[in-house]
Amino acid sequence: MHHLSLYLHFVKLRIRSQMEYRFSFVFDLFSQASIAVIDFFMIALLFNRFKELAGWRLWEVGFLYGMIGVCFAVAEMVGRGFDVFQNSVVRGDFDTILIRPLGTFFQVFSQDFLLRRVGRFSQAFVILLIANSQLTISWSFVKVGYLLVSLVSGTSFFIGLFVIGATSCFWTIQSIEIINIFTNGGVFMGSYPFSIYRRWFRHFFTFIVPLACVNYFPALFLMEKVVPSGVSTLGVYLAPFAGFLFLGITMLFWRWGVLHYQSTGH
Amino acid sequence: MRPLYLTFNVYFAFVRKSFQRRMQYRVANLAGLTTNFFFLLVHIFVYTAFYAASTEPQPLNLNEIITYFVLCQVSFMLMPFWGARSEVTQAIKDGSVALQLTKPVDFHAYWFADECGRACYFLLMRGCPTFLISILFFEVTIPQQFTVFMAFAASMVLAIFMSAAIMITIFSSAFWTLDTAGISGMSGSVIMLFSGMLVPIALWPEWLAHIAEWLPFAGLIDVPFSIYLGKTTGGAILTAIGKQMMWCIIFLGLGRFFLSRGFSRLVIQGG
Amino acid sequence: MIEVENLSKTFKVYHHRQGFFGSFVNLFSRKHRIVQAVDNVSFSIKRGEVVGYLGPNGAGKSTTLKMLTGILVPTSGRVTVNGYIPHRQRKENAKHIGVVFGQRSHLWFDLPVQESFELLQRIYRIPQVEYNQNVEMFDALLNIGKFFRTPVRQLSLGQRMRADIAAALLHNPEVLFLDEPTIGLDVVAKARIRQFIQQINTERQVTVVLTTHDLDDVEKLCKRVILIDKARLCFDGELAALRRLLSTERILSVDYAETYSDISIPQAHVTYQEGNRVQYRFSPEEISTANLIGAILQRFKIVDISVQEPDIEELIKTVYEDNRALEQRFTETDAIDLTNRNT
Repeated sequence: MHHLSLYLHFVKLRIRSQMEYRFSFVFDLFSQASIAVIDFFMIALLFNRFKELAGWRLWEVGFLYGMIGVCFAVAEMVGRGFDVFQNSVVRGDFDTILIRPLGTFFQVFSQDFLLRRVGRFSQAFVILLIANSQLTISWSFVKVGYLLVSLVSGTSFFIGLFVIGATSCFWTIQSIEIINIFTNGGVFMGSYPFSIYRRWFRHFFTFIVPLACVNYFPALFLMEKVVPSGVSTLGVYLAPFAGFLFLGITMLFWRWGVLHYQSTGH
Repeated sequence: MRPLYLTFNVYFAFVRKSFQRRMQYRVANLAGLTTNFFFLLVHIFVYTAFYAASTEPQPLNLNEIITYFVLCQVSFMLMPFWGARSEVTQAIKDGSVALQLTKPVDFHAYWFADECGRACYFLLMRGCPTFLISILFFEVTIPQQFTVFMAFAASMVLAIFMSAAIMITIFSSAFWTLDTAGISGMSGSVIMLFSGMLVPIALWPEWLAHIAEWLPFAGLIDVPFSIYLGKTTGGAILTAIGKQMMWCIIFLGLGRFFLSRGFSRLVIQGG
Repeated sequence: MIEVENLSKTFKVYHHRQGFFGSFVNLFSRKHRIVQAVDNVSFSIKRGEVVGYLGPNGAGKSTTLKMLTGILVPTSGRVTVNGYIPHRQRKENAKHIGVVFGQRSHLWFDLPVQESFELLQRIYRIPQVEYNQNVEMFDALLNIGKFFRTPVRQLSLGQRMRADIAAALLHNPEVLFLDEPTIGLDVVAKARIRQFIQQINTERQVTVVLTTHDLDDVEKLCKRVILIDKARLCFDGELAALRRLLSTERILSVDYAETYSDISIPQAHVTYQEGNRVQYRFSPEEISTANLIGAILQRFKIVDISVQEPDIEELIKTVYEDNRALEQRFTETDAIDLTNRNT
């Protein structure tokens, strides 16, 4: 309870300080949304010319796009502390975290809250709503619950990626860019049905970096599309939990990184 | 008056310095190279799937599309999609940019040289490896005529100049607004869209392609690549290059104007 | 209060290969050498003491402090602070210590001081009454009320330091660690902070461990000093004892009434001469002050004469430069207890 109220207090402070620059905030909100709109516009452009992609129509892809977009926007909003962690390591601010009577993971997590990602969030959410209205998904309680779990899981997945990036800063900050492949790249490739990718590529993004588990498989289930051969139905049911598992593993990695920092300094 | 070649020597030294400064980040460059290939790969997967489902003839065939996106990744880092670099806007914000005025160089030319040095670095360290490795793994078309290749090279150089000129124009906005991240992001995404970086303009619906034609940004990506692919030929090449030159001059002029206004503003306000 | 036993810390310093290929190889295997930052240091500090932890740059002061605060894990040896082992019970230890690093702030850069304090109140779960009392007291002593509503990033260095020290004491810690608390401050700000530290120490019995380059800090605040050099402890005892130990040499300044061609005096060295003013360095063991003055008066006419002790800065410089000489003197004098060291 102490942690929760502390977290909410941090969020409140962050939001207030971001609202101080109102013009820049609103401007950013719109630029965020417009960048994302351009993204989807390009997908729509391709569908205008080619009509379908591996048996998927525009708004089915739109559903995928909306799901991954919502997850990423929320992850960027709440996981910002890990996303920009390299700056605080370079500045030596991590020492400050170690002298406080709170866990390191919690402190970095609550360090920042990027409200302006609301722009990107709402764009993705609107696409998701439009996609839903264009498709005939038969919603049930189970499906709504499943969708919510998937979204939270997808968000956890992206936060996990930020945590990996942040943890690697304890060793080096030169290769940090590589994590962009999985974050920005993940949003990009997650916007298309997984069946278009090569086998090794699919396997990598299912079993090692479980992007497909939080996006593609849930979408298959929700839209009741045919499950590709070699994938069990049970696997599709359980897929969303991979995001939580992933975050859990990255938290262990974080802990290990902190121990490394404490034994080496920087 | 100094002889002209001496003046050029000074700015060439800035190009070299800018290049060398970046040479320190080799591991980061390796990481960037990996990112380039990842995005290239996903693009190729997506277009292969689109083309497999389509029976109609397209303005560009799949090999040409792949070549187009290889070239996109080659020149990705040379282009002004990233908006203003933070070290420059930071210097403008805290007023330390005024130190530039104490140097006996033209600051617009200095920044232009700096941007060109950056472009050289990324062309050599990021672009060339991307291209060479791509030839090994994908079916990349290579122009058969020497003249086409020369025309492409000329157009590419102009694209780099244009990129540098646009970049300076964008970051001079830091003199007026505190928050340049928003402007950078917005201008970056509009430029990316209309340059043809996301989807080749040949695949766009006509009405949108028309808009792109009247904007300068196709000169960054679509114009040189169309020359490379042999889609722009003969007299059209000259027109295209002429247009690139025109936009180059316009942006150089704009950047110069904004910078001198910005500096005089800074001087009057006393930083 | 603080127990340190045979504390050591070694770092691996990586050697970076040059060239493109080299930097690639660096990713997979890196050569390194071991650097000893703290070498077998032991001391113990009692409640309510103010101890100056001194040494030249890179001697291992900060590393020791980081081990005492739980930021770093020792390579070997034992540390306890308030009965807690800092690196194992980091959070528990953190509740009972206050830390200030002069080089950077622990406050939230973009928040007003007041909000930073309120956040700390929540983080450390400080009861409202206690919090109010403390803020009131710090305002009275450090005058933080003047900039209480100003964001930290807009504070002057002196204000920021005052805010930081106050913040470190909000939760009534038993121990206060200060790393260069007066660095970069002007004379007035320094005096104010020193006075505050002194007051906190006497009124609340807060134990203070302080590293500094400013020897005025030491003279004003610390009864006891611990000196380390090249990772090793080389002196632990009272400041006065250190002074006694080293101030065997004194300086005699004389203003002569006339210009003499030969001003040399046996057993005293001329260290400085300008016009008729001359300084001699001498050792009281070889020639007593009275005898020296007598010898001068016998031969010359003087206007003024004075004897000075070298200042502490000189003293410490001597210790660093002449570590061995000091060691030898230790064996002769028994004034200071030197904690066990195996060399």
